[in-house]
Amino acid sequence: MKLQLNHVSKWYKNVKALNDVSIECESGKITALFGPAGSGKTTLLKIIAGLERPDNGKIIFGDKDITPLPPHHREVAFVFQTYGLFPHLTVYDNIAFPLKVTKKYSSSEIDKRVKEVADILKISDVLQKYPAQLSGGQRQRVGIARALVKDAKILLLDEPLTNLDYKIRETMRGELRKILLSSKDKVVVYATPDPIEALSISDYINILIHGNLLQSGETTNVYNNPRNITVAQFFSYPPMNLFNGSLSYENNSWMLNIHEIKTSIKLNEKVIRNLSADTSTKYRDVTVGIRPGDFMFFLSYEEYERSKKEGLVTLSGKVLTSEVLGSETLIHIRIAEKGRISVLIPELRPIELELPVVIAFNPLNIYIFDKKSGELIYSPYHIP
Amino acid sequence: MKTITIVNILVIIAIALLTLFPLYWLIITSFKSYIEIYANPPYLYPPHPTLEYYIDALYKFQGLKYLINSSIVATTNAAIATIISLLAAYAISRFDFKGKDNLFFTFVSMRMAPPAIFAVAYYYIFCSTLGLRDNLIALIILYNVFNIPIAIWLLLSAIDAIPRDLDAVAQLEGLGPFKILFRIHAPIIKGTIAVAYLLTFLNAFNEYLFASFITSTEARTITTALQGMVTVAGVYWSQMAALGVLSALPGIIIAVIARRYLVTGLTMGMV
Repeated sequence: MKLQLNHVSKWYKNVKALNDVSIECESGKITALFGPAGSGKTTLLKIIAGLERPDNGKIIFGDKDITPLPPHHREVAFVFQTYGLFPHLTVYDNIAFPLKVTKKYSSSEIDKRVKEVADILKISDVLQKYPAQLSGGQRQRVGIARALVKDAKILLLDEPLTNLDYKIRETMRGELRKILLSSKDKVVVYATPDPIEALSISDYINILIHGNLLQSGETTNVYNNPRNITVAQFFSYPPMNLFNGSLSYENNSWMLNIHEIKTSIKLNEKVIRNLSADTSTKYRDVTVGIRPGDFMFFLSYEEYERSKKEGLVTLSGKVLTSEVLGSETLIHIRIAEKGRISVLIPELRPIELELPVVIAFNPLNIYIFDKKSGELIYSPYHIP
Repeated sequence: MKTITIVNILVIIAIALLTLFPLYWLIITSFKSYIEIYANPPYLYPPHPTLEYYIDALYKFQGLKYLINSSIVATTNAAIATIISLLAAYAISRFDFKGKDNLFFTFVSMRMAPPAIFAVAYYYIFCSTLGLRDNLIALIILYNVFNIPIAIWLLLSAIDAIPRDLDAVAQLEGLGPFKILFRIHAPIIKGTIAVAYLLTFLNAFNEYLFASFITSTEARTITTALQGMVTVAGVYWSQMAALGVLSALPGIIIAVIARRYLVTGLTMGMV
């Protein structure tokens, strides 16, 4: 069963919250709605649920147009960012709420389902407690349990892990994917502003920025081939290093000049073949992107030589600052006078300021965007 | 924790005495005879306590009838005001409609004006036009003018504190606005609803101004009843004190009960 949104638009007062958005979500897969705060993800989810009506467009599920239907006729379940638990009901009653309202289930049937779902989410021991007595992680599990208990065909999650602290979020990411895909016939739509969460949980992704759908596709594909700079900047963590550059044809070869770090790279055959640009013009302004994780980090040139890595472009610079990101370290390095590069190393390592360091990257591992339009013209994973 | 000093204790005792002494005096007066009241030096306790003045006040001076009148007016009016205000607060909190901001301001400003301004207008409406002179119904309707704004203000802040996600959860299951109000919101804010009822009850029970000119004999309430004790034959102090104690009782009881709800209402645990 496929869930389709066709040309959905929505205005709030004078602001266009969603601009002609069309997406497709398949059952048995997790589809992500990715975008920063205010991009329209929650609005889109509410429109799918029936809590809001679109000003334009249709929602089709299977072969039925569900746009005119109220929420309780749509077979949707919703997990809220703020959990939405009733403070005056026990965990058991909170989970049982959707079943009790429809009056279609006997109390023994309700009991069975609540206990089943509580078991999956590992909250069986807190069924008689009240939400105020639970931790954030437990409350979120109750919210998810309540959404699962109905066996709805469309499961919508609005940034379910955003309000949890870092450690719990990491644990839940793995568990959540398993739980959400346990029944193969659900359409799961998952909204998140976190690139790592999207990468680890979803199969398909839709990039929504300021109400506009910028790119859709398989999640890893979109990550490896961001259609333009905006997508590359938002859907990347840590943010991609971006430089002003130019492509020029000199001395029978194509050179990529990266201005701020004063580097010139001779582009090899593979890159030139893959450039989807018109290479008949001998010069164009570009923006060059290199991911922080694509750099190698050495404390000295000798260390680099000892590593025996070949074909890399090396740069020397001084450490500006470093920050800890989870279990990795992000180091900001000054290159030349004005260049600034962020490098991610996969370990927790204290780095002194002003330390002279050497970084290296593979010249194939770069992204080239047209400067004017922002469109991608080369990526390391580019399929010509 | 700040340590309590001797000065603190003395100040507390002084304030307690100042506040409670008149009440104490009233209570002992209600048990004293005429002569004992005028005794010099004054008795700080009733020497021969007797309930005869209470019985006198209730029956000979019709105190029981007036207490019943006051209770009828207060309980009915508080119920009407609370329900109407609950519905109004829900509408203001959850819905957008034309003139919404104006409506709210109107309600709040009604409470700010001195009630005496409305005296002539209300007399004309209730007594002349509607012919409700000396009728409890006049008071029951009238007190809404002052009680509804208070109750709306209380209930509105309570409903505003309920996260809208809870409404969305209920809407997803097909619950309409009334069901959401009564099945979801009301249980969550039941403490505040109780406080709203108790405060409006107190307001209605203790109201003097309008009761004094709208009622005369049949619908007289306890607040104006004390006038009847000042007669040509003399002032019946003991009975007056007895009636005073009885009319102060609801206020005292409510203050004690409502204290608990006030704390609950202020610390509602939102998840």
